[in-house]
Amino acid sequence: MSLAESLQQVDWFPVRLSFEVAIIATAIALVIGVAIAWLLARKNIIGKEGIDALITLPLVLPPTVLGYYLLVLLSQRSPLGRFFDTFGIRLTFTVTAAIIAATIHALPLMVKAVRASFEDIDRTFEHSARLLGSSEWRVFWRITLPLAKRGILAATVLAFARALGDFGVTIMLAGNIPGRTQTAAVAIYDAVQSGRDNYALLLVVIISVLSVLVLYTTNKLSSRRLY
Amino acid sequence: MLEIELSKSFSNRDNPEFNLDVAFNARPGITVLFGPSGSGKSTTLQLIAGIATPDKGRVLVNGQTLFDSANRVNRPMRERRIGYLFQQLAVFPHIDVIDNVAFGIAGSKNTARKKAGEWLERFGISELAHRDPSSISGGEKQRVALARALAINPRLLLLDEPLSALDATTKRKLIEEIRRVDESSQIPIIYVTHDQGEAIALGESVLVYERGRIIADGQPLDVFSQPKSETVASLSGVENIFTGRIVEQHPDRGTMTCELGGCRIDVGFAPAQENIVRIAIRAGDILLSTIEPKGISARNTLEGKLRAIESVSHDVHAIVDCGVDFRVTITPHAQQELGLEVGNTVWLIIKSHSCYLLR
Repeated sequence: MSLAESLQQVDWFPVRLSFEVAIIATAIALVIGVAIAWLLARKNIIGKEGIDALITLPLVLPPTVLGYYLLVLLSQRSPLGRFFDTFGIRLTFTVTAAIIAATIHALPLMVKAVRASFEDIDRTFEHSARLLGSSEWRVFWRITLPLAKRGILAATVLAFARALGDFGVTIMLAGNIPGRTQTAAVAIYDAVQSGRDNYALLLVVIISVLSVLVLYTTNKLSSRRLY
Repeated sequence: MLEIELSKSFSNRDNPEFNLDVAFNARPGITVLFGPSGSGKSTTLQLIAGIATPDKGRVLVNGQTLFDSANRVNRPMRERRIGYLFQQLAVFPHIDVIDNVAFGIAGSKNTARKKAGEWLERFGISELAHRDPSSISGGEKQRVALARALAINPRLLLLDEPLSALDATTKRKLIEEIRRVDESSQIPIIYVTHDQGEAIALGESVLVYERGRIIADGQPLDVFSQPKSETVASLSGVENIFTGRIVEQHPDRGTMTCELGGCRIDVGFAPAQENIVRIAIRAGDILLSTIEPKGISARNTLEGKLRAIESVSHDVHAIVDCGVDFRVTITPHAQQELGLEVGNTVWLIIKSHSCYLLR
């Protein structure tokens, strides 16, 4: 069988799902992460370090443990699950679940890295902008965010990699439903378990090549002058 | 007119306890805040601008209250219309020079840029308009920051050691520029520095800071040339500072005699509460003679031995032991002509009024 033929026969669904989930999860983690990081870096809120610890937890907890917590928290029997169910949204064993899993998995890195790059900014830039008549909103968009751009971009790449690579949380929360919630990472595991070694290898190669490509492109982008 | 009364206590790792407690008024013109680092000069600017909040006090500009702890007034920084030059300058690195200057100018992007262009022209840096701030020199950055601060038409200009990172020539040019700004703007300018030369070159009035308090004020030349406190004397580089004991007081003659471990000098009379006084004498105020002087008005002629000769930039310092060591500034030419050598016996001539009693 030639390479072209075998590529045609490949079930691309897990690869496509993985990238879709990772892209959406990264986008959500970016927005939420930047907001939380800004609060932690710039505001004196009560229980700040507690919030930081809670957000960092997914970084240290075994993914299956994290997945278990989320399953309990979001299942249809839980208050949160019931609430979303009234809108017809199921938070477990669906693509939504896979996205939630990947987001939770990617968020801690995002918050940590973006908070650090916010904290690296010399505060006199922001003070100058305020004294030049800028509102806090303008200071954020015109000064803080552009000056942290490089760090935020780096954090986004890392978050994407983590979202793409999640296995434990995804399999706990979204399950392993081929054609519905089976992401590439899960499909590889599944293929190895059922003795489809060639398929596993193919998925591994595809995911590796695409990941390297993404990393390369972003590195290329970020090495260009950002300001 | 700026009127302030500020107090704030700090306690952190760097400063176990530091209390800032100052009050002054500043008219249009340059007021210099002078003092050692850590004495609260920059903090004063931050409290005026609203970067930090005073524990107690008031800040008024042209009669308008920016901060008043008693009436719970604390206007946000963006409404204060204060021009502020940070030591780091804080020229935004991610936008070009003209957009930096346009940043605070109200109106559409085009009008703001147009006005910014006029400011650049005023500072002679039009050719830098589209340059990246990382590619311009320190002196140019300085002008950009100054233009940006003035472009908002501020009611008050705060300059925090803006020249400390520059070489002497650039410094001189910028001092000229700040003077020009002063002449055309007619607003109070508060200038923080620990450099006496800058204080003298710029200030119409100087306030000397020490440990969070103002310990002297007046015209720079008066404050520095007739130091009344140890801090001012040592900051302004007075070379001879001695501890003495008052042994005789002659209010009738306008003098009193002090014993300086080994020699006695007459200083101008001043009612003193304590017997022990600190006396400051500038090395440049002392005359040196190789023969015993007679018939002169100066009250003090001290005999001593020339102990050492040191070169200090363009001058020579003779160190003369008269029981205590005096430092005397002479020109290299005088040194040659007098044929001064270590070991010579010399006489020092000091006017009583060149001896400053320190508080």
